[in-house]
Amino acid sequence: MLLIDKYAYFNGLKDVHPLEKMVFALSLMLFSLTVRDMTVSLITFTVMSALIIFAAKIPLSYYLKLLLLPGFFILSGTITILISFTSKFTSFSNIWWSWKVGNWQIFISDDSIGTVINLITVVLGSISCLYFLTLTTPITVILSVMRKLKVPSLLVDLIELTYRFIFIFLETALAIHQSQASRLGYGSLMKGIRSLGLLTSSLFLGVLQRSGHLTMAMNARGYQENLSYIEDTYTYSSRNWLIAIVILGSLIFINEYL
Amino acid sequence: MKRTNWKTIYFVILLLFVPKRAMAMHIMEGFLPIEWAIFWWAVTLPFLILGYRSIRSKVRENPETKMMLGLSGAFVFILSALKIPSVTGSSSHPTGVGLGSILFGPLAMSVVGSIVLLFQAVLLAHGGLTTLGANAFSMAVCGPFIAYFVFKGATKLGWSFSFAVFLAAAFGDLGTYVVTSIQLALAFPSEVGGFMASFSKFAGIFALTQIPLAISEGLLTVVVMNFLKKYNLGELKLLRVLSKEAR
Repeated sequence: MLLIDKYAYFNGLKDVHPLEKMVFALSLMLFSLTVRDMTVSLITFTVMSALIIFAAKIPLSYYLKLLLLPGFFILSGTITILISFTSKFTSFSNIWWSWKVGNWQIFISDDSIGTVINLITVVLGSISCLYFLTLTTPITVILSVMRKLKVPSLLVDLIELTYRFIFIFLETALAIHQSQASRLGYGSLMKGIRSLGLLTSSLFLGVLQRSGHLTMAMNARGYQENLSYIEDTYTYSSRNWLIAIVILGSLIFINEYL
Repeated sequence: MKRTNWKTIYFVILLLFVPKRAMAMHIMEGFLPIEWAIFWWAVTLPFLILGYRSIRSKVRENPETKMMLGLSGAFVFILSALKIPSVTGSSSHPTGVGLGSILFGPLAMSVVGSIVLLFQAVLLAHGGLTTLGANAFSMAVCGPFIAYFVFKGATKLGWSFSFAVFLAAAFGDLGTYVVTSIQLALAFPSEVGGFMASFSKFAGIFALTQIPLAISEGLLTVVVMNFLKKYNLGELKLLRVLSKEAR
């Protein structure tokens, strides 16, 4: 399930300075969201996907699977925008399709088709930027950049602790879930709710106990206010900055003049 | 006999309305226009700052709270990653909002919930960074506050603990979806009928699929709270550090 995290640690771009990747991905994402232009979004999507597949060497099949994940949201979100209702006496000039039922008519207008196509391309463009960031940069590295950018340390510590413990609890939860399921604990809806309730409460007890143990361990090591970690060192590369500036610059040029 | 009827009705509703993959929970990356993304970030920020401050003062008093909140974040993430059981084999995850705000209080929950949303976007590709403000407002601010006030109100009315917990969790869950529908309708009003028409369409799709799940989450939270009350009373008292309303 957390394959996305594994790729973040092992990929072709893991040695690139995280700030370079963050600035690149976020500025492209914000640009394509601000202009909301089909061409810009499609170019962003192509460039980002190419980088993800060829530079970061993420398997194509996995990347396609990731792109399908938000499928349901896109479907339900765009269908609601696409289809409109009105009373049957109203008439429009730019209707692409309509159907009269009783006193109502269901219709799809040309404008809403335009909106939906535009929306889908913008979503593809910006989601490829998000995937580029999460598939090439581990959370811990992003957090160390956030620390350097003077994000409040308590907040970063909270995020870091959450991250560390997600995997431990996930393992426990899945083991409990498996043993419950093998005893038909999820055989019916009511059993399922009871089993999940047992799982949740015993997991919660584990959370409380572990937090006590963790405090004790930290105190034994002279814990004061902040958690400190050893950080990896990265070097800036002028080539990467140049690539980022050229890509962003040409997108701005395309948007302005074409 | 009455019990079976109730179960059958629930079963039928679930079969009718729950789609195969109800992953419609968070607004995805890029879906909201940039103005709305910024607007929702601006609305959420005050709550995050207030929550951060309340956490900071509690951590100063009692350093254990930091570990506890961080670990609770992981706990809520796991809850949201586990599937809520339902008969159709479809799945949607509980928001964990009701449980969290009853245990930790709504302000602390707004920070913890936002962290969870961040990880859902980054680790599960569910939600997004620019839409994090909007998602945090519906799931980490509105949900917890609704759950909290419903819980307080129901307790004040003298209703039983279980019923209060059920209502709090179910309404917190439903409220999250209603707010999400409002956010989507504001960003994409219908050509005819504007905001209201668009809202009823989004709410129709989201809230209807969500009602049976809200009931499931309500029941689940009751079961959890009862187990906790029965076996882990000592630990729950520890939580009074975090919120006075835990019992």
